[in-house]
Amino acid sequence: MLELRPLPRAGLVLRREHDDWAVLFDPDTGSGFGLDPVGIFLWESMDGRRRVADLLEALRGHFAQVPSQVADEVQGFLRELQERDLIQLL
Amino acid sequence: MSTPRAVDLVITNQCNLRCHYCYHFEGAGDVARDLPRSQWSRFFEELERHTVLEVGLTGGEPFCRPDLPELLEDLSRHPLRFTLYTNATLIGPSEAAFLAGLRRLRAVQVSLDAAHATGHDACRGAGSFERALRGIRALKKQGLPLSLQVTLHRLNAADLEKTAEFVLEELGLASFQLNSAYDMGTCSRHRQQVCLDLDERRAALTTLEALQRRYPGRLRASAGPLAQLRRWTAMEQARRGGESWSQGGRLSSCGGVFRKLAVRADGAIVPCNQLSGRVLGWIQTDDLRQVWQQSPELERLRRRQETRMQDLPGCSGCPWSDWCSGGCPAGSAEGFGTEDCLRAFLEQGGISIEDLVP
Ligand code: SF4
Repeated sequence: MLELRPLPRAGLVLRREHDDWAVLFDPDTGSGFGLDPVGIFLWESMDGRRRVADLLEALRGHFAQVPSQVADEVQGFLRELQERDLIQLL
Repeated sequence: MSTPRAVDLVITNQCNLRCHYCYHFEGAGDVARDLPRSQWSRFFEELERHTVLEVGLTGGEPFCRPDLPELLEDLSRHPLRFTLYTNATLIGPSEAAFLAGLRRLRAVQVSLDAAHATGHDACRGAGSFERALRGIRALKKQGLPLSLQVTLHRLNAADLEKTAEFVLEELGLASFQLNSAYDMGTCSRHRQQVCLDLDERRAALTTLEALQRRYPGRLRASAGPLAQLRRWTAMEQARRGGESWSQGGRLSSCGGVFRKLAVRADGAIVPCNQLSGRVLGWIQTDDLRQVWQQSPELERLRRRQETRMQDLPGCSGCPWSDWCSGGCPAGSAEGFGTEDCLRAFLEQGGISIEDLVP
């Protein structure tokens, strides 16, 4: 998993809501998926070139207190995005 | 929210009907001109820039615009979903087929007031029932996401049960939306003919209660008697149970100013189509985000929610003031004393709360 490169699906809208949350909106289906600040950071960092390991490193550099289990959580989050067809893992 | 999530657009001031209960005509939104397509298209780009996700297209009657197809194609190029509000009388097989080819059309909402021409045409004009039905059938044939709006008035309220049977069983729709005629626009001139009196409102509530039981989850309402019945029932149950509501007890109804805006046919940005006289800016000259964040009028409307119901002179001592959120600000500036007021309804109707919520 750490070597895979997540690529966001084209055409989705990231809309920032109040309290630092955002919704990922699919205009073709109307479905939405909520993102917290970490999710937003990851979403905006994915480009199909950076590996999951790179994203984790960037995350640790960006947020002050990153819990030790962050790698598992990020991988779970990415799997969920993949299951929802919001990203591809290349 | 830094920008509105949804925007309603009056894309034309033209309509082929003149319904007696219309809130649009003879109100502040009844303007002399329609914006050209180029202006709307530029605004669609702005909607995308500001990540507006939902758009409602209304009028007048959208199909009165000769360039509606081009306008819809322009809109469909942007990453948002839209709903078209129509009387359906100008929709035939070719219009329905065109709509079916559009990406991102969330729903077509059609107004239908009764199961028969008498009840529907009473306020909408002779022949409109047959034409609306033809439009509805064409939309259904294309498998389009269709929703129906029934507006209750004095000439169709007694037939509500038959209307529900027709829409849910004969037309086979999953649900429909209910509203009632409000004393605004053209409706004010026809008030006596269309607005339900107290007895009729009481009778409608009884019928709606029975219909809710018969068709669970299939009747929807954001305003009108069904919405009132649900809100009042919840308020009374909360009062009896001693519940506290975080959002209750403040002048916060309906909350629309926190998520959406509207634009009139002439480009004026307004808080909503029922408040079309309160101009916040113009799409021709102003930035939507700036209007959303900086309009003093919008701020004033948002700050209504700081007012506690029990501090309003008309509400002091009301047993429901901890749960009530007032009424639509378009109904009265203070938001109470309107049709949405439970206490006024009981007092004027000479009934007790137990009659309403056993
Ligand atoms: S008087 Fe009416 S509007 Fe005021 S709190 Fe009571 S029910 Fe609500």
